Amino acid sequence: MPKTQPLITCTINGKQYQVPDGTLAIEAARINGIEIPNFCYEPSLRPWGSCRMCMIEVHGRRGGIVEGCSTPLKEGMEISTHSPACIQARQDMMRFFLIDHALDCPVCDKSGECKMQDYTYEYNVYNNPFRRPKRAEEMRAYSPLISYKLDRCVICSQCVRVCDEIVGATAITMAERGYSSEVVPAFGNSLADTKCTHCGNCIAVCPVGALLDRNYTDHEWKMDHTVTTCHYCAVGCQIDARTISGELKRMDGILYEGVNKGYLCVKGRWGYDYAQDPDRLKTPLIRRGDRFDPASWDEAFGYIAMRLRDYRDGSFFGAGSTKVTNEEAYLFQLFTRVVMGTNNLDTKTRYSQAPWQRALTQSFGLPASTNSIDEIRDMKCFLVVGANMPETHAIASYWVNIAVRTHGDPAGLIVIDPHWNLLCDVANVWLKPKPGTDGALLNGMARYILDEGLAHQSFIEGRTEGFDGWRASLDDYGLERVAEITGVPAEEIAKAARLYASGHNHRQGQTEWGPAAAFFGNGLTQHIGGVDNVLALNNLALVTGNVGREYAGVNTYVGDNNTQGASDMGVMPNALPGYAPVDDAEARARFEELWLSRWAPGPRGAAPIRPLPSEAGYTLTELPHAIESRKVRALWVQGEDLIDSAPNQARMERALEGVEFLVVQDLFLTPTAQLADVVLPSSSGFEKDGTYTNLDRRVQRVRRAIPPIAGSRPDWQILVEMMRRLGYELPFRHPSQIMDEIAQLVPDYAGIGYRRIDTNGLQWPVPAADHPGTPTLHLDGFATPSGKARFIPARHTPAAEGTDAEFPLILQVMASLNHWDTGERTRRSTGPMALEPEPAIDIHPDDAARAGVRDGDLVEITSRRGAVRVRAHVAEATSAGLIRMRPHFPQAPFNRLTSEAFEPHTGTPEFKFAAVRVARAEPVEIAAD
Amino acid sequence: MSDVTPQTTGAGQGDDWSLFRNRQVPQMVRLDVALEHGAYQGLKKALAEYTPEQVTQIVIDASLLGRGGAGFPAGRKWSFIPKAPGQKYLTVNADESEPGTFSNRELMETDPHQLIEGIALCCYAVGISQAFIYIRGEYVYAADQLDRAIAEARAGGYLGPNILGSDYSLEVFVFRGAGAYICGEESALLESIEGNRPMPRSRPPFPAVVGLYGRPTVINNVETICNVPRIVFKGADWYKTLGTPTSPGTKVYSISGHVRRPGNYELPLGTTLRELIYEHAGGVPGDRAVKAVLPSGAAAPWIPGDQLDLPLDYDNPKKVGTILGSASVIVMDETVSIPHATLRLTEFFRHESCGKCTPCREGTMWLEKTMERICAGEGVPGDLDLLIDVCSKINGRVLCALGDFAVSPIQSSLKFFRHEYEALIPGLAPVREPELVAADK
Repeated sequence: MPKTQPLITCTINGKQYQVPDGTLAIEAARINGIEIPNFCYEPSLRPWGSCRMCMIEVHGRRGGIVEGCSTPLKEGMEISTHSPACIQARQDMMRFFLIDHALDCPVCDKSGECKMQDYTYEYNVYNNPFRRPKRAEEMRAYSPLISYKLDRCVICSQCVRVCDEIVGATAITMAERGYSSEVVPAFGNSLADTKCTHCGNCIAVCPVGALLDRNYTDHEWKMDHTVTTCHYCAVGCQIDARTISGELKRMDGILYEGVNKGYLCVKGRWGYDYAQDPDRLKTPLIRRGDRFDPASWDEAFGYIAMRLRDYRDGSFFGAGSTKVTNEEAYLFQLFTRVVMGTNNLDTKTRYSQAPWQRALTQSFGLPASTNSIDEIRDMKCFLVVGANMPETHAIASYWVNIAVRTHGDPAGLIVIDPHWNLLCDVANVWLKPKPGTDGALLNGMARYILDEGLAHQSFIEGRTEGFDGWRASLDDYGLERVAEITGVPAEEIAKAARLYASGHNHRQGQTEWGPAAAFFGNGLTQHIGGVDNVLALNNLALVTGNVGREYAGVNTYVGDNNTQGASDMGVMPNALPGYAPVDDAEARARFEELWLSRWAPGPRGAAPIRPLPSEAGYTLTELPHAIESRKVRALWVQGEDLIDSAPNQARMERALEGVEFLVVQDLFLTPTAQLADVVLPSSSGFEKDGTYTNLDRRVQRVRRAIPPIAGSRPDWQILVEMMRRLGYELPFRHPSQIMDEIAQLVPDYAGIGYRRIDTNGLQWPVPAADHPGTPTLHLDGFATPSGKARFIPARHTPAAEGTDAEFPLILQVMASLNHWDTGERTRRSTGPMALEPEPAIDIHPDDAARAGVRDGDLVEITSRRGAVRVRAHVAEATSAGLIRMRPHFPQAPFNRLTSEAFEPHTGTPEFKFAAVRVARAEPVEIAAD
Repeated sequence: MSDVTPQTTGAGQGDDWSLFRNRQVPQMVRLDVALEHGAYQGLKKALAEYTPEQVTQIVIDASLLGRGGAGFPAGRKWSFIPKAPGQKYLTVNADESEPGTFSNRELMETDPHQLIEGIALCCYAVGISQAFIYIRGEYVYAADQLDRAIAEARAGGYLGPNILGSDYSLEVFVFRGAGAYICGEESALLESIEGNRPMPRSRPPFPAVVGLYGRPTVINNVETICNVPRIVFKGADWYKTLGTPTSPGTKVYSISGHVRRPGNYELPLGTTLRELIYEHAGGVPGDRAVKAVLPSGAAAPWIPGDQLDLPLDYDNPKKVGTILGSASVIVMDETVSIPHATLRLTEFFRHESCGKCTPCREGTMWLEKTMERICAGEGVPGDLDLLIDVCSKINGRVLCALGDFAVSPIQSSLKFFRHEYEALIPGLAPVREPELVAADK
């Protein structure tokens, strides 16, 4: 845990500053706005000190020229950063660097943001005594995205260190030594042979133009910068969208800023060109029989308004999006509830998040991660269960990797996952339970902790309730039985339990129990026992006192850029914004007061002023049935492709065909949009202002980097205009005004406004305009009525179907590193497509051998519901008996195979268990759907 | 020179207490043979009579200076290790890669139990439960001997859990290097054990605070550790009767080059160069004159042939601008071309520079190119000043001593033998200095 150092006073360049004791000179100067030149310093990494550019002069008795990056400041120290001696020392170094540096600035992408260029100018190094012909090395392509030019390299090792210490991929290394040193992919000629995740952080930290983005060629001085929030996963990285004349050119992190501190992943860095893809819809489309006719916006609004008037009797369903901004999500539920008069409102949260939202609310009182991403680096023990963080929420896994590999004081790491990911390589314990048995495993760990006396008694007594009942429910979960259910050896379970309960308290003599944090993902929730699985995890955290505490908690690593926000905004069938239950008349009244006052008078205001609907609506899971039974006749889909994500593709497809009126708002003509009556071209996240709420409840700004692609409109503008056409007048001219209204209605957002979150996001609850936000939940009490957390017995429910001789393998649907969601965006982005251009399954070598499948073969996967042809990738990353399938390609629809079983309380499908068989298929072309 | 008469010659005579006393004993790797020859007496005594603090104090009192080269007092180094509980390590530096240095090799090959006993004593004193011997990969036989000796010592209860029935436990691991000079640098050595590319770390923090796997770590040379058993057994006062008052004890001098009997000679610290060369190593073949001496392999500034009466201890070499270092003396006689010898050393350092620090990476390359040019007779008049300029930009501007070592042959050869360089550079008239002509006889 971080210690706060006492402040000391030191003198830098004749001026006094107060800094924490022991701060490195280079860092002390940096935070006080003095840049000490360097090539190799990066505060997130272990000290390095190779470039020798940061020479500073220490005055006094033991003074002299020393490196600023390894000189801790002490009380009364006096240093100069730019004295003549420092400048002389830096000039000497620059002359060495410039012996062989190519100095090909006119053709170098880095020109204009290159430290070598800057320092050569700043230190006036032109008469180099070391002169010889330049080496003129070839540009080397290390992968489709990354290239290297040796004669520009300064051997600062930042790329190698970032790859190792932060990303944990160890994909590049320094080869040779001394003067012959060069950066190369580990063990081969191509990064494809390594664990490279193509995060591109090596390029980002390169101080010169040695490592380069092969997709990008242009110069810094031509670019405009827009700081915004990434549009992919729920981590909410801050990115700098670089544009030239309204065209997106490059994505970068912003060093030291945001939850990502400047680091990105492959999707964030290279997954942007979908926004300017030629496929983007440029005009509204109205169906005329079998074809779409382009229409003007006015025409489209008029047509929709005319048709929708017929469906204000509760037969409307709004399928919202977890990808739009908070403001747009808020407007969408407003539209559905007030204008269309129904609670038939849901998002794809139903397919993955609903179980944890329910479980966390039951246990702790709030459906949100308890701790902050910023705490990860100081956490002391991790339990990562069913969360493929390095692929789906990569930035958070970087911080886990740093914590686990902290020199001298490493955190412990338990990974529970049948599939390999980068974190497994640094885990203390890696448990591979059979699919669908996580709940039993977690119960078994809890039981072991109780049996061994490792429970945190004072926490249980003081801050929880329901302990005795829960304890009794664990009778069935003895170690031996759990080992039998899960297939994990008993001693491994015990080891993991011990590690978690002790918080990896490896320091002898330290008696305080260490904080341990639990991270989970869809592996826990997409089962018919999804809610119980998460409850089991909650109980485990409670019995060891690891919630309501810094550096601990139960944290979800699931979801889209605005999954949390869409739920916060009430895009769900049973709750209004801020999770106010729809059946709570008092809560409804609060919203009605503002919302119902807006119906326009006059001719268009024919709509009735009626109360908000009080009955919970249909969920997305129930939608096909509701359409089939004609309870729902009109559907509005906001930016989601239901056909490629619903659990049963054929049924969803039939339902959408059967619905009377279907409106789809999207960037592209997705399979869902192709069935629509009206398609509205909306703008991507790069083209609008707004906010997203990330997985640690952080409300962050989204900013317009480019103008809307011709013909498209931001969703919020579409919704405001749509409502106006239906007689509901909204005063919003900018999303910030919508946020002001949200702040007025949602207590946890009360203190949030665009001014306050301009540079840094705020983590809700922010109950007042002067409240600093809440990084860690439940510190002073839980959000339950009693203020105590609840132990709730969690049953182990086996998967709905089993394997047999006909269907011997288990199919699990898991997002890939390179693609996101249904792939509509990443499949239109050069970077991800260069790395993963077609769908594939991962199959274990043993299973492949049994099925006669070789790496790269086209195979047919058959489940009890259907068959899909896809290429097979034989890999040991997957456990024997399991098949890992990626859900990003419509030509290989996973949802023709997956089970129709649902978690009974939340309707979340069991995407993580489908019995299948695999056979080699004739090598035929896969027809696009 | 000290007035203490040397009692130890390294010949292995009877019951003397030289490090090499058992040099001629066959099968010293066997525990029974080692015990017969007095192994583990120091450890038994320490466990029975001394607290860990007392052991450290004895070593401090004995003023045992680190034999690896820097000459830092070993006991003080041990006392820097934080007392707080937690994992700590001892790493024995057996990556003996300095050209002309071969004393550790013989110590490990001929008496491995002496080293193991020293390790056990050091770890007992500091409170360490895991020790690593980092041995250069080429020392296959020595590593095998150590592996076997450790296994036997463990089976005999001198290592492992509850050593000799006490509550003190220790495991010792032999870690074989993969061949790089830089691995002998202590922080690069730690990186190598951790599985990283061996590159020196920036300091502070020093290994005593943040060492192996980020934990407090003692790093000592093989010979330093080998001295510990006899110091603990015989006492600090006895130890101080050897050597000089400021550099007590004996040192194993490895002598090679132009001498009749190259080899390891264990002598009291303070022995003069002349005595080492002429009395012990048999003088120079053909009775030629000594032109220059490299006191510490390739690494230290040279001693010219007219200063052979210099006592080799930790203080006196500093007076003539050099260091004792690892005391691996390389003798060059009058037939040697100084620039060519210097070029060879410069090539070595360019080849072994790890490439981390800019001045060393780029500077050694430039030094080598310039030296090559001079030796090929293609030098230009400004080259000597350029050499001196580059040396001054490397010296003291790098993370570890390799850069400093790399410039010392050039700096000292230019200091004493500039005329030989000038003779090779067209356009510079050869200048002969009379006193050096005299010494050439």
